[in-house]
Amino acid sequence: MGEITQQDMERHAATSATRGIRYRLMRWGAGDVPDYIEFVETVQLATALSCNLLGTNPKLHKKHSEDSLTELVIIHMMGLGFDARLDSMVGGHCDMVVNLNGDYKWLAEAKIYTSHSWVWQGYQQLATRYQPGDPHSSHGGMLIYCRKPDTTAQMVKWQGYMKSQNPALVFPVGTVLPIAGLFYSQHDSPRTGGPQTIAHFAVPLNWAPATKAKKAAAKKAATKKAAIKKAATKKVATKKAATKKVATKKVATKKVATKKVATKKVATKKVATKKVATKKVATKKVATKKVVIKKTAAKKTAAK
Amino acid sequence: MCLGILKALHERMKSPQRGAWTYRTLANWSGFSELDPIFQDCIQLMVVHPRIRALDMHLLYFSPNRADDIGIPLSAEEEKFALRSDGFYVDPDSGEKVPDYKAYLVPYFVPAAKLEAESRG
Repeated sequence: MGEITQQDMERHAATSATRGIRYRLMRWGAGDVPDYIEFVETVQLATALSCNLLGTNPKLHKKHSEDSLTELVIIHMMGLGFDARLDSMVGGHCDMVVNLNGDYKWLAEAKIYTSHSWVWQGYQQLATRYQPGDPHSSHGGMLIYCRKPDTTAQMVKWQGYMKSQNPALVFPVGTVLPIAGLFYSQHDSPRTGGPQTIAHFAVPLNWAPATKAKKAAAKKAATKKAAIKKAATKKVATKKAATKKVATKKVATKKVATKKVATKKVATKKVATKKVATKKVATKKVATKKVVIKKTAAKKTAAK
Repeated sequence: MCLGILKALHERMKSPQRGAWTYRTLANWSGFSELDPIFQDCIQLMVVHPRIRALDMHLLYFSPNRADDIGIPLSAEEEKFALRSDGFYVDPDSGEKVPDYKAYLVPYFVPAAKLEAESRG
């Protein structure tokens, strides 16, 4: 025969989780319609894979909004074969609705984990507003985008907060899926009273690689060192400038003093010269007087 | 690869004769190997992706007891049981369950409603 058989398709499907999910959907499409629980388990496995895939490159999603992140999850879910939609109208705008032939629904609300109350608000919307409460839409999910480290610890805290807000909530054991921090919660539908189960998925979006932190610390230290060196150099320069200023001032003061001394000397000399001149005048006066006396005496003698 | 297969499908839609398209038929048209796992991924996407959904899958039974068998298409009910992981298939000649039946069921494809609509323009 040599053609690809159903056995070959199953072998291909067994080589990866995504191929396995798509093969399951091919079977559903060809008439092997699942029950609601098989649908839910497949959707939740696909959601876990999509959340993990989103978490493989957190650096790329640092600035993405809740809707952008959810859109990426939805695109991957569609690649796995699900009719998944963003913001479908189901008692309001539910973030993600996965639907099978209009018969089964799985609703999810997405929140960036900024605070417990913010995620709680999303959970309340899902539980009391969007979930219709019928058996074929009785399962759903919370997609919690965690930008802080250690998603498992955050999910433990989140579960604790849920308990504190509503002690009637039940946390059943559910299917183990390949995603960190997953847990299930159960509440009764406010509309029908039927049990509604929510799977809480954590999307690890923390981006703080150790190598980068080390590099940043080294850079910071180098910058600090350079700044200290610069400050020290400045201090030395300032000191030098001050010393120079003082020396210049000293020189100027000395110059002034020297000038003063010289001026004083000149003045002293001038005084001395004046004194000599005065003395000379006085001497001359005395001599003149003496001559006059002499002349007068001579005159007197002659007259005699 | 997916675009190559889609292009080949659109070409074939112009022909009035469709027939049953097996993995081998689709591989020959598009120029890929039917054994290539990526080719098989593309066929999965052609069947399940909600924005593509170009093909519907069905099954043909090739009896291991007839060398020149051209294959018998399974009914919707037979397909439902045959596709299950713990399923079965009853040989229409012998009325007996066929052991290891999945090795004798060959998937074949027909244009899905979306591809039909696209080819009509």
